[in-house]
Amino acid sequence: MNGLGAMLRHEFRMLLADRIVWVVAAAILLLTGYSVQVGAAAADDQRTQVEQAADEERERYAGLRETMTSVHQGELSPSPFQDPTRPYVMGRARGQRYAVLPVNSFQATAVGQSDLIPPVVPVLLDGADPRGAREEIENPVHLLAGPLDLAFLITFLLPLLALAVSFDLLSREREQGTLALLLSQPVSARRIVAGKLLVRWGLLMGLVAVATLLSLLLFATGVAWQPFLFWGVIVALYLGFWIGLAALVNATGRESARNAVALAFLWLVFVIVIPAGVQISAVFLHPVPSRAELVALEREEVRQVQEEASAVLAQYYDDHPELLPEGSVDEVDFQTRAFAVNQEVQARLRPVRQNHREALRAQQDWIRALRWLSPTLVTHEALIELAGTGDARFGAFEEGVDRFHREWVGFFEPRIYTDSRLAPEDLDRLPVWTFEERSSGAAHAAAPGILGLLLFSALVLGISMRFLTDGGDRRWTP
Amino acid sequence: MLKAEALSKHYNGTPALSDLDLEVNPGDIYCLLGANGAGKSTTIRLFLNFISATSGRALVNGMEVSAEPLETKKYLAYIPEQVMLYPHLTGAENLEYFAALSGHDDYDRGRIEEFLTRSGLQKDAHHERVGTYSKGMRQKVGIAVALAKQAGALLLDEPTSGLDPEASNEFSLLLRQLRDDGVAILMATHDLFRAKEVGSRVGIMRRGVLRAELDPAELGHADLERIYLEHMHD
Repeated sequence: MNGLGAMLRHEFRMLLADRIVWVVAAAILLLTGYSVQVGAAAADDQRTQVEQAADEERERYAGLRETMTSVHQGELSPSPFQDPTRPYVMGRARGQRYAVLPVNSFQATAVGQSDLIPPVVPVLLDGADPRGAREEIENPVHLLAGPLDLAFLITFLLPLLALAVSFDLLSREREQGTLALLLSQPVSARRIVAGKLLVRWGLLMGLVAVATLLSLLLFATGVAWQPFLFWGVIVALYLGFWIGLAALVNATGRESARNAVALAFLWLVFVIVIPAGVQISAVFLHPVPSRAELVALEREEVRQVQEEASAVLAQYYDDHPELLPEGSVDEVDFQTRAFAVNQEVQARLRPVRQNHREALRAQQDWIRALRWLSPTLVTHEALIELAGTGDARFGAFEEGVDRFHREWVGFFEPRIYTDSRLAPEDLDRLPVWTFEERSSGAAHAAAPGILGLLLFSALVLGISMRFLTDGGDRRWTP
Repeated sequence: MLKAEALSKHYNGTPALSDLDLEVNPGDIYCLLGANGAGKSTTIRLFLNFISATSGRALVNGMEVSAEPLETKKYLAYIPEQVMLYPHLTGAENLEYFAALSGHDDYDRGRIEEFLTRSGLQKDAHHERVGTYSKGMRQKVGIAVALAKQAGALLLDEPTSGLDPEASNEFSLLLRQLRDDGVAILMATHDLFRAKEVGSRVGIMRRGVLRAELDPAELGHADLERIYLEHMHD
């Protein structure tokens, strides 16, 4: 190899002699530290919420057990609305259980949607809506105003830093006049550019990896290291794309100032314009009915069903005659009636809610499909999935909450309609929340992104290398 | 060693070089004389494959330049009119780097300093940053880069334009030494005096055409100047 080692050493030395590199290095170290700290704080906050919910539930249940025992032994006779042995009381606020999303082991690297979806959802007879006040799905533009987490730093700012050290990698040689002497040596322009790319890529990657590693060790708790490997691959490829883009622009043979403008423009297109366009088109093509409409509809249904309460109840017992307690429908107590009304309202709202969800899913699918238009979107998606704060894990959480809610209602429904009482032992038979992490893990979360980024980087590098063939009056020659 | 066969270069139909036939053998110093735009630099840039010929061939050591762009450069050393170097590095570091690229990554410090000294760069400047150098000093590092490459052919584009008379004279001595070592030298210049003094042949170019080839040994100074001016004014 014709002086390859010398070339890399030389490039590295030239880079270190450049003040901008030190500014970029300082920026990477400081911003990485800060952003990981932001992500770790968010993760710690979630951890605290989950722990507090568990503590509260445990204490409440200890109290319930005591009260129920006293009621059973006849020592206590609370009012029907306070009595935990009544299933309707137990199934609502007094006995509610929490569906909780544990902190993922790599969550400090990306806040993702975790600031939009509460990690603790109370599950009770009246419902369980993990989306809470959440109206919009993850919004790539939201990133702009969102927290400065590591994923934001990587996807938005790192390209700028990479371009700052590579926008003039060939044009500077021409402008300072060294290209003539350089190309009079038996070294191809491709080799020279490849050496420059390699050194810049290695330096930036080393800085980002070391800064991230140190920051995670310093600020984050319970980090798993296997995802870190995949994270490194994603960041390396994304960085490769941007540095490759700088090579491509340089290979067109314009002056440094023009390269800088062209690259700033490309940054704007890939990082701002395309993500915003994807988002706007998603909202436009797959509009989601407004939350306010849903709430108004819910009120209307409640009013109607209450008016028809007796009919609703009669209909229910017609369908389930075995549950009818002694006596007649007219004597069924207020709680059973309220439960029946509530269930009917839920049933009538289900298709509307379903519509709402499907519209959101359609938006999500649209955004996921269009993410291939910009490596920034591909990278962002891969990074939040790897951190466990993306659609996949939250989707699984939402499904889990639904399932748990159905189990919860299923446990109480027959007991309410038969107007039975709960014994303290029944506390151990209540449905218990569990969340199963996807077993496929980091590799599965990272694979599509890695493939996509491989394609993007190969494309820009391939084209720039084609432009850099010798001879033929190329514009970049001295 | 260097050979042009009907070598032509047109820019959008305008000829910069027309049907140049030329041969420089080991031990020759061929001086191309001519005004700016006569096609001297175009010729040199064609041999370096910085531009591609419109027609004809440029050969180095029997190989066609456009077919073997990297292989032919192993035999070529080049000193441009303005030698530009990395200003952050010292003269010695610049030389070391370019030597390594040319395949000589085994020169030790003593050898590097030897080349710089031979090129006339004063010792105390070897390890100064090039940013502090004068044009003449940079030119000398350029000469050292060419020496260190130990190439069979030397392409010079107005190499002495920034040198003072003394350095220019030293440079002439150096060229003669290289000629005696069997290097083929092609030098573009406006300097009739220098051409007469070192050249083994002189070619006069005008508007891309080689008008005359002379043997300076057969001519006096005045003759060369007269012939040159004749070709410039007809």
